Amino acid sequence: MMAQLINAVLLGGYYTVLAIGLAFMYSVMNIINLAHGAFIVLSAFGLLILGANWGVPLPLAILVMMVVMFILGVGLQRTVLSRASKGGELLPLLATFGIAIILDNMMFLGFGADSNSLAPLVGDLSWASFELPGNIFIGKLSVYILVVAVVAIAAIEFFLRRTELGHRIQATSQDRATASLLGIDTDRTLAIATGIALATGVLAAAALGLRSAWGPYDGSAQLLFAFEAVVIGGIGSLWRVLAGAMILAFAQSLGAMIHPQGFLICGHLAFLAAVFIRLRGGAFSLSSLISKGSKT
Amino acid sequence: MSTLEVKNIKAAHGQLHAVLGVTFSVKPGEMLFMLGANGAGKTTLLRSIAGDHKAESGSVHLSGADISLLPAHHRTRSGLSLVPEGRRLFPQMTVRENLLLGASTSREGPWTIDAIYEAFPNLTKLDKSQAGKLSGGEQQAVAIGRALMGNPLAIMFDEVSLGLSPAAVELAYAALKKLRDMGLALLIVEQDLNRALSTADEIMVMCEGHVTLHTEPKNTSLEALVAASFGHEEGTAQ
Repeated sequence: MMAQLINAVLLGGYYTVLAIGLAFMYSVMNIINLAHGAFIVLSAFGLLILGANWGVPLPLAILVMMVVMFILGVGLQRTVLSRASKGGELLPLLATFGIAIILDNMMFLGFGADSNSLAPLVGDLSWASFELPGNIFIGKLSVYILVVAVVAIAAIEFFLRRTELGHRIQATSQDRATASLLGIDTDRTLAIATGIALATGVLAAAALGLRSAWGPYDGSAQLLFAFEAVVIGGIGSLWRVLAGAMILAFAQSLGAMIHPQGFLICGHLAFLAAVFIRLRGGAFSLSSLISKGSKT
Repeated sequence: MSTLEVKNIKAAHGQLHAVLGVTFSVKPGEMLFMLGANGAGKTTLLRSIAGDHKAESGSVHLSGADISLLPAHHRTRSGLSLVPEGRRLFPQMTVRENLLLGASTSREGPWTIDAIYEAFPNLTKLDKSQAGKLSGGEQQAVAIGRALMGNPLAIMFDEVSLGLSPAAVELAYAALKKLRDMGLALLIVEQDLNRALSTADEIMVMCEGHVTLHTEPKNTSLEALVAASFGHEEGTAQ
C-alpha cells in the first residue's frame, strides 16, 4: 500500500513534467497546443540522435535540445500561431492539430516504427532504485523526474512573477492591446513564451525517453495525460498542474488496485469528474477555466 | 514646432465611418481638450493616433517625425502615450509592477518609481498592493504614472475623470497641470464641459466623426460647446 502511494506520487511527477509546457502555453496565450505531445516525441528523437549517434552526454543534449526547441517555438509562433490566433479560438486548435499529424508522420517517415529508448545513454539509472525502510524500492529515475517537475514549476513561476520579461508576458496574455500601448512588443513576447513552452517539453522528452520505450506516434498519448492533468488542476498557477497530475496519478493507481485494467479507466473517470464539477459553475467551473486570460 | 501633429485622420469600424478627417496639433506645454457626445468618434480617434486601431488615411507626426506607419508599441517608444478609458491596469499585479511595465519604452527621461511616488504621494504606501484592489482615483494615478514611466513627449487621456469621485478628479487634474508645466503635450478627452472651459488651453468638439468647433476657452461659452456637441457648427469650425 505504502509503495503504491509513493509510486502514485512519482507517476504524478511524470505527468507534471508532461503538462508544464501545455499549461504554460494555455495560460499565457490561450492556445491549446495539440501538437504538444508530438513536439515532446520530436525532442526525444533529438535527444536520441545527439546521445546515441554523436555521443553527447544527456544533460548537455537536453540543454542543446532546449535551445533548438526554443528557436522552433519562436518560429512556430511567428509563422503559424500568430496568424491562426487572429482567426478566433478554433483556428489555433486546428492548426496545432494539423502540425501534430504532420510531425507524427514525418517522424515515422524519418525514423521508422521502431521502439526507441534513451535508457542506454545513462548507464543503470533507468532501473536503479532507492531502498526505503519497510523493504520498499522506488526508482531513482522517477524520483529525479519528480524533482525536475517541482524545480521546473518553481523556476517558471519565479520567472513569470519576479522578472521583467515575465511581467511583460503576463501583461501581453492579460490585455494585448494595453501591453502594446505601453511599448511592449507583444509578437516578440508571445514568440518567447512559445519558445519557453516548447523548451520545457524537452524535459518531458527526457522523462518519456528514459522511463519507457517510445515511437513516433506516442505523442498523442502524452498529450492526453498532459491535457487531463491540466483540466483536473486548472489554470492560474502551474502548481495547480502539479496537483492535477497528482490527482490523475492517484486515480489511476487506485484503479489498478481495484482491477488490472482499471488504470486508464479510473484516470479518465477522474478527468470526467473534474469536467462535470467545473460544468456546475462557481470558481472551478468550466466557463471560468475557459474565460481565464481571454480578456482582450 | 508642435509635439503632436495629426492630419486628416480617417478611421472606420467596418462599414461604420467613425472619424471623418480630423486635423489638429498640440504644442509642448499645451493642454488640448477634446469634447463630444458618446459615439462622436473620440476614442476611435485616440486609438488610431496611438496605432491601436488602423486608420484608413491621415498622418501622425511626433516632434516632426512621421510615426503614421509604425505599430502601436513603436509609437509608444517614440514618445506618444495613451492612457486608455477605464485605466486598463493589470489587476493581479502590484502597483510597482504596473508602473515598471510602463518603462517598457526604454526611453531616457526623468521618471522613475521614486519620481512617480513623489508626484503621487498616496501611491507610496500602496507600492505592494494589487492594482485591482485600489479605488478608482488611485487606479487613475497608477495609470498616469505608468504612462509617465515611459518618459513620453505627449500623452493622450481617454475619459480622464470617468467614474472618479470629485476629489479624485481634482487630484488627477492637479497632476495633469504639473505635467503641462513640465512641457508635455496633453490631449484630454473629457465629458465635463465646465472643466474644459476652466482648464484647457484649446478646446475641440467632435460630433459624428467631424470637428465641429476648435477654439480657445476665452472665445467660447458653455452654450457654444453644447451646440457644437450636437453638430451645430459655430466659431472656427473646420
